Amino acid sequence: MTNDEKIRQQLSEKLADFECNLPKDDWEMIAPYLPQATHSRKPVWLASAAAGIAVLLTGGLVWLYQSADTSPDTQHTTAQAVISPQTVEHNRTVKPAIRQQTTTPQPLSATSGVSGTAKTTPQPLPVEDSTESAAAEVQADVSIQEKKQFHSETQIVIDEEEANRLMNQQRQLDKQQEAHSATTLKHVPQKRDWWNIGIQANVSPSIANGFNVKQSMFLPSIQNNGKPLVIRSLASRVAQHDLPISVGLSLGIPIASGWDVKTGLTYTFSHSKFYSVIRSTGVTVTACHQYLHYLGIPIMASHRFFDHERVALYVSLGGMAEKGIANVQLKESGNNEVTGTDPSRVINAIDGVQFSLASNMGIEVQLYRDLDIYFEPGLVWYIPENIYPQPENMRTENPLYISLTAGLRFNIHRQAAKKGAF
Amino acid sequence: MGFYKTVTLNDVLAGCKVCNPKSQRHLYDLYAGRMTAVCMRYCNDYETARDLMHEGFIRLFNHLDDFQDKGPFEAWMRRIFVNVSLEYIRRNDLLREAVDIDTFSNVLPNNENVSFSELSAEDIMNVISKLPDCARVIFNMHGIEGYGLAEIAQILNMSETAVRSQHARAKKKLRAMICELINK
Repeated sequence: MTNDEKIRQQLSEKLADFECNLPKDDWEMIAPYLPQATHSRKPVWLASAAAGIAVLLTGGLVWLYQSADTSPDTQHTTAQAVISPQTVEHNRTVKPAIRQQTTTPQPLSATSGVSGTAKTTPQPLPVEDSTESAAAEVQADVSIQEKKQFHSETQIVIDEEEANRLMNQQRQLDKQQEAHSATTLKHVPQKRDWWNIGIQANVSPSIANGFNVKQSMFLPSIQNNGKPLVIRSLASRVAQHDLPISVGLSLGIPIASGWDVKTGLTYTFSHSKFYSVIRSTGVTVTACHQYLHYLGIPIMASHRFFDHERVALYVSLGGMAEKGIANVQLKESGNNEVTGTDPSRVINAIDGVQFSLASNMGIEVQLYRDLDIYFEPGLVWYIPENIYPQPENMRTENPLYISLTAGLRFNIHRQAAKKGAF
Repeated sequence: MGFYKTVTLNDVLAGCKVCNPKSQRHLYDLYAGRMTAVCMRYCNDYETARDLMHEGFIRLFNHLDDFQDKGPFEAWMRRIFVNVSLEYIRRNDLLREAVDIDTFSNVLPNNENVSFSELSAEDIMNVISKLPDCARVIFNMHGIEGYGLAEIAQILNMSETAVRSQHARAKKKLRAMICELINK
C-alpha cells in the first residue's frame, strides 16, 4: 500500500460520517426547487368527481323515491288533464247543436218549451189577455226565458251522460294505474320520519397492504450538546402507527320516507412513534412521538331498507372533511453515547383538509323507547392530498380502511311518529 | 396496537424516483450534513458550502434515474457534490491565485509520512481548511476522493506536473500542521 493509499484510508475512516450542522429550516429552502410528481392535483379532481357522483346518486335516489311516493296523485292529475280537453271539445261540439236547436222558433204555449228528453218539467208561463203591444212584450219576454230554460235543460242532460262516460274512463285509468304501481314500485310505509341525535365511537383498521405500514420518511436531527451526533451506518428507520380512534356527536335529519341525512362533529386522535435503528451498534434511538388531533364534519345519506319492531337495517353513503387542529411532537434522543436528554415538546399546525369517502351498512336495535344502540361496519377511503400533505400517520400510509362504528342514538318523538304513521 | 416496517435506503430511493416529497425529505435528512462537509472541504466557507449542497441535492433529485445499482449510492452521490463544488471553483477562478507553501518546507523532512490517525475528524477538517485553495482542492480530490493525478489535471485544466507539485506541497504543509498540532 502506497503512502497516498494509507492517507486515503485514514481520511476515509475519519471523515466518512463527519457532518456539518444545518439550520432546521434548511430543507424548506430547496424543497420548492425539487422535481414534483406531475399527478399532484389528481387526487383533488378524483375527490371532486367522487363527491359529485355520490351527491348525484344520492339526489337521484331521493328524487326517485319521492316520485314513487307521489306517483298516484300525479297520475290522477294527468288523467284529469287528459279528460278535460275532451270535455271542452265535447262542449264545443254540443253547444252549436243546441244553438241550432234554440234558434228554431218554438210555438208559444203554456206547455211548450219542454223537449221530449227533458226529465224536469218547466213551470208554465202565465199568459194574460191584454193589448197587442202588451201581449207582444210578454211574448218576447217569455220567449227569451223559454229559450234560456230550454238551453239549460239540454246542457244538464248532456253533462250527466258525459259524466257517466268520463267516470267509466276514470275507473279504467285508476285500475291501470294500480296495476302499474303493483308491478313496478312497492311503497314503504311512512315510518321513521323523525330527528335523531347520537354519540359514537369509531376505529378504522387498515385493510391495505396486509396491515403493514409502507414506509416512514422523517429523520429528526439528533445532536449531542450542540455537536452533531455521528451516526454510523444508519440503515433504517421504523415507524409505528397506532389505530386512529374517533368519537363524535351525530345528528340525523329526515328528508324523505326512510331517508335521513346524517351529519355531526367528529374528533379523531392518532398516535405514531418514529425511531431510527443503527444496525452497526445495535442501538435504538427513540426519536419522536407524534400525536395528531383532527375535527371533522361528516355528511352521510342514509336509507332504511328494513324496519321491523325493534331492529332496523340501513345503508349510508357520504364523506367527511377533517381539519387537523394540532400536531404535537414529543422528541427524544438516546443511545449509548447520549443519555439523559430531556424530551422536547413541539406543537405544529396542520395545513390542508383531509377528505374521505365512506360507505356503511348499519344495524340499529331499540334499547328503550326512543333510545337505540347501533353498529356500523363500512369502508372508508382517505383521499390522498399532495398539495397540503397531511402528517404521516396510519391514514396517509394506507388510505383504505374498514370502519367500525358503534354508538347510541336518541330518536326524537319516535313513538309519537310511529303512532301517527299507522 | 401498531404496525411496523423497516425502511431501507432502497425504499427511500424508490420513493425519490417517483418524486415522493417524504422520500426526498428523508434522503436529504440522511445525507445533507455529510454532503455539506464534502462541499466545505472544497470551498472552505460554510454558507457557500450550504449553497453548493442545495445545488447538489437539486441536481441529485433531477438525475436520480441515472443511478444504477452497480455501486454504492453514497459514492455516486458524493461524486455529484464534488462536481458541483469543482464547477463552483472553476466558475470563480479560485485556482489561479498564487500558491506559496514553501514556508513549511523546512519544518519536516520530505520523506516523513503524513498520519491522520491521531487526529479527530474536526481536527482533520481544520487542517485541510488551512491549505491554499489549489492545494486543498487537489489534495481533496486525490487524497480523499481517489481521483488520479492525470484525471485531476484534466478536470482542472492544469498540467499533470503542476498537479503533482501542488499535491506534494499540500502534503508537506499538512505534515507541518499536524506536527504542530500534536506537539501542542
